[in-house]
Amino acid sequence: MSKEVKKAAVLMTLLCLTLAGSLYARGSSKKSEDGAGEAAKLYNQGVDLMAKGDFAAARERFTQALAKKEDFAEAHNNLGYTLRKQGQGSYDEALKHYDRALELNPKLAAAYHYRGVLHVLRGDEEKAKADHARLAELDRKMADELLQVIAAGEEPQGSSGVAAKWKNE
Amino acid sequence: MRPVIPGAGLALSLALGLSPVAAAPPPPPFEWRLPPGFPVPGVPAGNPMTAAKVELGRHLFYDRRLSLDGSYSCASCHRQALAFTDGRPRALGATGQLHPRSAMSLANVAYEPALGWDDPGLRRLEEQARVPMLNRHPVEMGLKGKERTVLVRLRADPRSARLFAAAFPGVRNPFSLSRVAQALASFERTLLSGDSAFDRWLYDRDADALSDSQQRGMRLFFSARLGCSGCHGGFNLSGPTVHAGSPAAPLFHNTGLYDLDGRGAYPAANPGLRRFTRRAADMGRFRAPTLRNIALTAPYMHDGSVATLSEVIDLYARGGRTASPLKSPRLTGFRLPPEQKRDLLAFLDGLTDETLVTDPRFAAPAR
Repeated sequence: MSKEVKKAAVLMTLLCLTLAGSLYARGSSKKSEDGAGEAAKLYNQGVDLMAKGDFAAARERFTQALAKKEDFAEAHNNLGYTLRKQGQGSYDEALKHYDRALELNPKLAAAYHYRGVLHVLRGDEEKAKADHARLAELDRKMADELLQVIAAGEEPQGSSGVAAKWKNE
Repeated sequence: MRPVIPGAGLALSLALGLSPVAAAPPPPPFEWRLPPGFPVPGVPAGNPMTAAKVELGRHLFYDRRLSLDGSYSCASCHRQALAFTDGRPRALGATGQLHPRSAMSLANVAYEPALGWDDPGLRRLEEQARVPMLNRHPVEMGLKGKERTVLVRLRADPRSARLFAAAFPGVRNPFSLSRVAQALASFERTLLSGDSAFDRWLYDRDADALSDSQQRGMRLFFSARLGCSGCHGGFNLSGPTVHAGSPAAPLFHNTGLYDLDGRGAYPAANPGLRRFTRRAADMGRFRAPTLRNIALTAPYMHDGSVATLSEVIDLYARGGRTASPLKSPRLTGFRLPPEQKRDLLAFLDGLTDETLVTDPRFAAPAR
């Protein structure tokens, strides 16, 4: 979990920079500025809840963030993740949000990672491989974690991925 | 290839008030020919990749003049057919001295965060290349004290003189051991191995590239129960990897091969990481090598003390050869019925890259 939280924190930092940059550049209206700010705030709350493992509550926050700002790729991605954590019944909906996240930002590495894992869980290995190949171009270390999931055919327990296991004993 | 703009160099040199001859055109950007999914290797700023340097490096790699009696080259211990290993338990130097450790594969060496089995500080191929040339304990290539003689010989040989001039344009006297090491390092960085059945299964999305048995073996290899990928993971099936813009520190593990005194002692010649850190806890810790081409690189372990992959698997299934107190907690052992062991071995066979061992770009140049 901690690894995913770290990823989320990095995403958040990027997001803040992006939002700040785009707001400054576009000189957007007060209203949309507030909307983006509120969306970011809700998103952050969602990330905190994810860190605590409260995926249901996190899901609410990401949904609310998207109500304020529908084109929020990171929020779609994390909503997809929290949905996926709700169990198989939510896989289809999770997939839609990963797809939307990547439609909004085709370079969002974490979304290829999460979607790849979902493809493995759905037994769709070839699609998982395609996401891995794309991810390898964006972030090799993250791709290595997805490779582990694809090759094992199972999601690692606890903090996922090969990199997390590479700690000096 | 970057498009060539005729006259651009001339315009620049005129603008700078230089004669047109003084402006050497910059070398074209290096074409890595990376296997699918492979990142661009990191390259030290002082030794940029060029095709000419790689070509010189290839010639030097196979050049027996780089040894005390003209009998040994880098390729003596790093044979292409064996994924750049030597097939021996421990490497044999030019004077017949045995090295304490086994010659490591050079496949994908560009991505290793440290070089050799146990040295955490040996990070660059440019530095590593000097070790076998100059080492005296044991003697490997035995060049120590003969450097000048060899460099003079290389300069006198029209063919190597031409290769050095092309590799180091504008350098008045490129015949130095540092330049030799730079060229060797450049060549070694091109020894990329990413065309195994496993890669074709993964990147070509060829579900049949691995047999059913190999795919079952792959599941076992990457399973939490066996835990092989815990130390041999990622795209290089090794420990942590480095590449351009992505640093990493090497990891070292004690696999419990020896416990001479009940406190985890290893034979004096091979204390592992402790040789460098002097820390008691680092006794017997060695770097996990890549498992790419592992079927070609027998015998196994840092000292070649395990003859076959089958025995390696048995050893890990038992949780290690000894009950050393310094053994990695990862080595808990596992039960592996014979059919599963066959599957795991089949998967390891699927990591062999026939392209690497036959690619003429990596072979000895025609004399």
